[in-house]
Amino acid sequence: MSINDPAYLLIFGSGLFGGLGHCSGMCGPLVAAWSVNLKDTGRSYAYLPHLLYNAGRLTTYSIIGGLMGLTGSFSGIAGSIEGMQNITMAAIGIIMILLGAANLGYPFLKRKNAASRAEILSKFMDAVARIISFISETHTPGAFYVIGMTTGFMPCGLLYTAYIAAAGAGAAAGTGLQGFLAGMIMMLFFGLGTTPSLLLIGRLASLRTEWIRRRLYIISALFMMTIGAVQIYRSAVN
Amino acid sequence: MKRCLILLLLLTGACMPRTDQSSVKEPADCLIDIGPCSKMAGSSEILFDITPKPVTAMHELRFTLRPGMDITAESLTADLSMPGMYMGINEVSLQRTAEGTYSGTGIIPRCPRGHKLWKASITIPGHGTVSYLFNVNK
Repeated sequence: MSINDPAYLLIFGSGLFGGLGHCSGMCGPLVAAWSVNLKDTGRSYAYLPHLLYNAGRLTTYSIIGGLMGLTGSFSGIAGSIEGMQNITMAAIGIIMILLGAANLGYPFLKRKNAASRAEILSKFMDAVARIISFISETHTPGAFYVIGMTTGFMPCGLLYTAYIAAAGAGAAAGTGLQGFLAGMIMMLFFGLGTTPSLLLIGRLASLRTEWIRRRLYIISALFMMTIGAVQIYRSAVN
Repeated sequence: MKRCLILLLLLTGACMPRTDQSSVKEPADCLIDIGPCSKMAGSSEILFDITPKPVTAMHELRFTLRPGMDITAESLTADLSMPGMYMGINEVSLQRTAEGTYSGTGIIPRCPRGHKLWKASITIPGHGTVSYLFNVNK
């Protein structure tokens, strides 16, 4: 399969169109939730967390697409990652609830100082607080890449269709390596197509977050917790 | 105020797809788990079937079309879509067999939101498009 193959353009278009009609509804709230929580890093780095988040997503898509292309089988790989996808969805849900709780100022989730930690936090809660602190307060760009990679594992119908195409492209390739590359490139094109809409949602949500935080602090925290609960519910019923 | 509205739109509007499947009134017109489904194209009956049964998402399935008229095309395409939700381009190539039926393999993805209604649309040259609405098991 050559890079000029119309299938790549088709899957890019599918991602672009799906990004507007599907991803904005399904993943949009998730992206909006973590973006609302972003610290204002100034205009020059405004897009960096969003670009890194999307790069992380594309990395996961490409790796799984490559594996589907290598084996030429959708159901084999999909079956083996299905359990992990549900766990990821539940874990993201839990993190969002904790993040929302931390934003509301729930004391057990706030890391204050060593003395207060010793007083109120058990070792477990301290570990939870560290995770929340890492996600909500980090200025390390790599964190957003990791968040993107993790959310790349979330189950999604549109994504499954793209994986079916990646497996098909791999099955049609001559060798295993060609199959891997065909599957990987298919998913890369698909992911690139979905990027503009999620980038836009993320950027709009993080726009002047300090201003938003002052006015909609409680709403955004409750929103995060609600989305988290929905994620946990979906992971349980899948 | 403008920014407030943008955020509220993101928090509320973005939560729901514009056309959620629950708002789509089309019911399944085909009990695919029971047997082949029938549609008429003019005076000819066209049978559509998916095996193995029960028809389950995320597994390889065989799609078969048995047209009740003479068709010369070597292959047909079954376009799989979910009413009310864009699920990407999922086409199954149906190749003509010696018996005059058209058959091919494909996969129906699972919707994490639990929606089960799918539509298969097949365009038959000179006879228009036939569509079958059916439910898929998880």
